[in-house]
Amino acid sequence: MNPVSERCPRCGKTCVMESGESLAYCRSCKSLHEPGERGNVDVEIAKFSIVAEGERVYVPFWRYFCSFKVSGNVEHKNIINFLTDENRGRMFVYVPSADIGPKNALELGAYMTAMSPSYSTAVSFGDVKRLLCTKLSSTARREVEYYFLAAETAEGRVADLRDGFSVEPSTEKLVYIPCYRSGDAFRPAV
Amino acid sequence: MECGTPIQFEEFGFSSTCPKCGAAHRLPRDASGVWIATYSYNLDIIQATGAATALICRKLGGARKADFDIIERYPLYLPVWKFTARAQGWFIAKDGRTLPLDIEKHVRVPGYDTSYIGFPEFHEGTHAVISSETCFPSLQVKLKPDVLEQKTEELMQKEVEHATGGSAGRIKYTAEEPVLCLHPAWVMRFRTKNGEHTLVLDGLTGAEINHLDIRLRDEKQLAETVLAVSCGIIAASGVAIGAASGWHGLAVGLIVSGIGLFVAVNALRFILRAEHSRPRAKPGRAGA
Repeated sequence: MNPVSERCPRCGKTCVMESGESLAYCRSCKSLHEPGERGNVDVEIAKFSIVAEGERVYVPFWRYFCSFKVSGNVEHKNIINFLTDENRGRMFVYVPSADIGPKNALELGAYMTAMSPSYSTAVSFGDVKRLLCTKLSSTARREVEYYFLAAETAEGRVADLRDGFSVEPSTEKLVYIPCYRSGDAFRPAV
Repeated sequence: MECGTPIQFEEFGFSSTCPKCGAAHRLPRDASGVWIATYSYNLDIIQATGAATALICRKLGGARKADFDIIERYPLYLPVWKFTARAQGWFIAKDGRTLPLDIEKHVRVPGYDTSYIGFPEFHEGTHAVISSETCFPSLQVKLKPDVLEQKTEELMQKEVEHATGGSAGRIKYTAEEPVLCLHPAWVMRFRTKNGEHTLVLDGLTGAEINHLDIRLRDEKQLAETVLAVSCGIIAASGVAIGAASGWHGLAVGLIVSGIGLFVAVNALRFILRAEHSRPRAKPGRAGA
């Protein structure tokens, strides 16, 4: 079986893809999709709302709306508190999907998940550089628990690592979060 | 491919970009949604037979082509899973802190039963071309995609234990972007005096896959061993007589005759073998 040319699931035209990126782009209908998938990717671009020093870049995240099931065990009271303060057992989990190194990914993923900032959206990247999305949504979906715990176990809650809770990611969206890059470090600008 | 430029795929990946026009390409999928990469054969049947013959001769201790017959040769695809194995999660360190764990590595796992066929060795930089051939048979895939995560856990066990020091935690094992590669192989069945054997060659490199253990244990080998030992005894007795009794004439004679006998017999064997293996003109082409 020969390799096949990737076509847009919406308009059927040939798509382009940057080397190393995991998403194909249709120039005709200006949409993104994952190779071999039948649907387009839902994309959101956040606006810069903070002024800081550093290079302005857009970092892609897969954002999942997640439901949590937690046993009533006393060991999980931290998770229960974490979840039920405002969000009643449901929250967004952000999974970084660019090659920014494991340390940056962990920090950014934990920050975005814990803070879940509100932001206004833009229709384009303007002249700001965007980092390539190198992770498929199916891969990122499996990392939801890791980034949730990164946000939740920041204070070293040993008990929270034990069994007794589960995460169910449902809807997903590719969100480009504006960041300031200085050296190897990234700082979210939302 | 849209513009005619060859597309290169990474070994661990299912999509690629045309370096010239930027068009996106991906591997085909089977009915169950698994990415399939079928490699072309680098060795045709003549090259594979030549490689097999040389290998069998070497394995049989310098045997000639007349000592064995290749009775069957056919191409066969070996299904091999290639994916990124990942262990990710949190664990409780010995000092009580919670620490993250994120380890990944590229793995190649046989999708078939390797007990008889063996498993090919993979070398960086081996050139492989994605093929459109589907007419060659493939071994049945025994390792199904739904057990790859379980396989990942087995494969990552040592690394995780090393990283966590055996501490408890919540670790998730994933097999990322698995691709089922159909690796080309040649199966060569041949017959010696001791019976029939099967040699499996890598269709990309010509290397042996099943590491066949065969030796030619027949009367010829025994005769050669007896001859070598006899010559050695004659020469050694010459040395012993010369050293012990001082009969130098007899000693030199025995040493020379021992070495001479060994050289003469082997030279005769070499001449006879050369005569035997000289190619003969085929009857139909004799007058051409």
